[in-house]
Amino acid sequence: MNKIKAILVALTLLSVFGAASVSADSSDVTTTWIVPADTTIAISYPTGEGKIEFDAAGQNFTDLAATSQTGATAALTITNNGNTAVQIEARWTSDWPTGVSYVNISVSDNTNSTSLSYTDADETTNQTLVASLAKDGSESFWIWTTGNEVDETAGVDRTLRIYSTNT
Amino acid sequence: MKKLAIILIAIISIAAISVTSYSIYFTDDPIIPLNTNLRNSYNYTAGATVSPGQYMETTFNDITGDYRPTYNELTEDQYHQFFSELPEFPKDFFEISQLIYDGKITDYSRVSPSYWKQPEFYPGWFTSINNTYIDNDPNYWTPEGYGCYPAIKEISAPSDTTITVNTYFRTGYATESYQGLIIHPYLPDTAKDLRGNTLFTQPDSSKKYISVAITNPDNPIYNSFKSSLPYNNVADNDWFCILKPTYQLLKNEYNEVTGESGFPSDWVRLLEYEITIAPDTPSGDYICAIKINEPCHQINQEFYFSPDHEYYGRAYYPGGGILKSNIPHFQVVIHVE
Repeated sequence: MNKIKAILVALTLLSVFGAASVSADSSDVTTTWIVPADTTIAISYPTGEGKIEFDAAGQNFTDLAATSQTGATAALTITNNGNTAVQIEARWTSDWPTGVSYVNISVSDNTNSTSLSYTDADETTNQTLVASLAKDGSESFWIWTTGNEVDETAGVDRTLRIYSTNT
Repeated sequence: MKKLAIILIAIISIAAISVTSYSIYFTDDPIIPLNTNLRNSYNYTAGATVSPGQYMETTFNDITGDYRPTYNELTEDQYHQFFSELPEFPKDFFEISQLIYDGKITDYSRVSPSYWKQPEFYPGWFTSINNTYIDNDPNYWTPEGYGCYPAIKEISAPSDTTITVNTYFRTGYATESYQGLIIHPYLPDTAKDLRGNTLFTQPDSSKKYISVAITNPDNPIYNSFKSSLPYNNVADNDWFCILKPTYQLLKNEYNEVTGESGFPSDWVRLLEYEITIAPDTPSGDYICAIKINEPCHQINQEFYFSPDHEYYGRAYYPGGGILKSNIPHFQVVIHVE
């Protein structure tokens, strides 16, 4: 008799909990389409610095290269780990410190003269860094900055935000 | 006794109906395959090319003792360093992985981690391994990398239902930090195709009828200190997540490199996205999504300064602040019938 009671309790619980939640593949809920895109992107600093850093010796500097950046070592690398090609755009999320007038970003090589420029008038506007980064692609960026009468501080952070768009 | 038997039969019948209606199972009917035009309502790719992975015959790998593919340029030590914490590589791995890519297997909660915890499961691996693990420059510092696979699912459901939909949320390859990320479930204003074009506009009444939540367990370390924070930006139905590194240089006490490590067993999380459709929800299409937000300063400070866990110091990295996608990381289109 006790055994029968136990079965009754178990079955009652089953009927209560069975109705709580369903997966997307039960009798009346169906997954009808899947887009198997993987949009994973990774950000690297080949210099080994924790971020893109500029160490100015004074308040005025012209085409100051990112710290530890060399001809062979870029300041930033973006790698497409996914399975669609992506366009890469970038902009700063807020205005630069007063006095910083340019940041130049060169794609694929360390030639400042062929770089694209952000100015203190448009640093928060997206610019296209790479029109199409292949699904297994990786692109490196060399970066310089110019400033005049920039306040001396222990360090000011600004965020360069990277936007990816599937192409 | 006879009465009891009748009651028992009645309850068994009710329970059987309930189980039939609500259990997680597959029917034997053909699952809708990708690239047929049977049920999808929208042009989700909009011309963007979504590439499959490589699906091949498996052969036994003497180094790993399972069916992991052979990578000619990896040393025996690297095989062990990169893959030893992962589940055994199944013999039918590529067969199952391709069925998932093709959209024939749709209930991810039934797929064994032996498949989805392997890097080979993700379509970009075989082309990414060369510029990450094989030719990886040890001077690189790769702190941020994450994504969902797949990006979009389309579901058909009646009102008065709660559904759990899964996607795989993972660390990028050769990413070296413990990334703190906030997963935010929400109802966006519009559904997007892969290129970011609007597919349809969310019905005005959506918030009245549809609610979304993440149901994975929270990160226990975050949970241990969250109540003491003066402020945090993790909303009630957000999920704070640590994604673990997929590559690290191992160093000795003199800061000399002694080796490498690769994939921990939990570098991918099966994200459980719960969608509740209220009774009397008007029929039509609704869009639910997930986006990734950056943890606030107060949360980050706790991880930087607390030396009693593996995420301590420079190994911790607040993700979600630099990388942004033009579309949500995961979208679920729901046809309410």
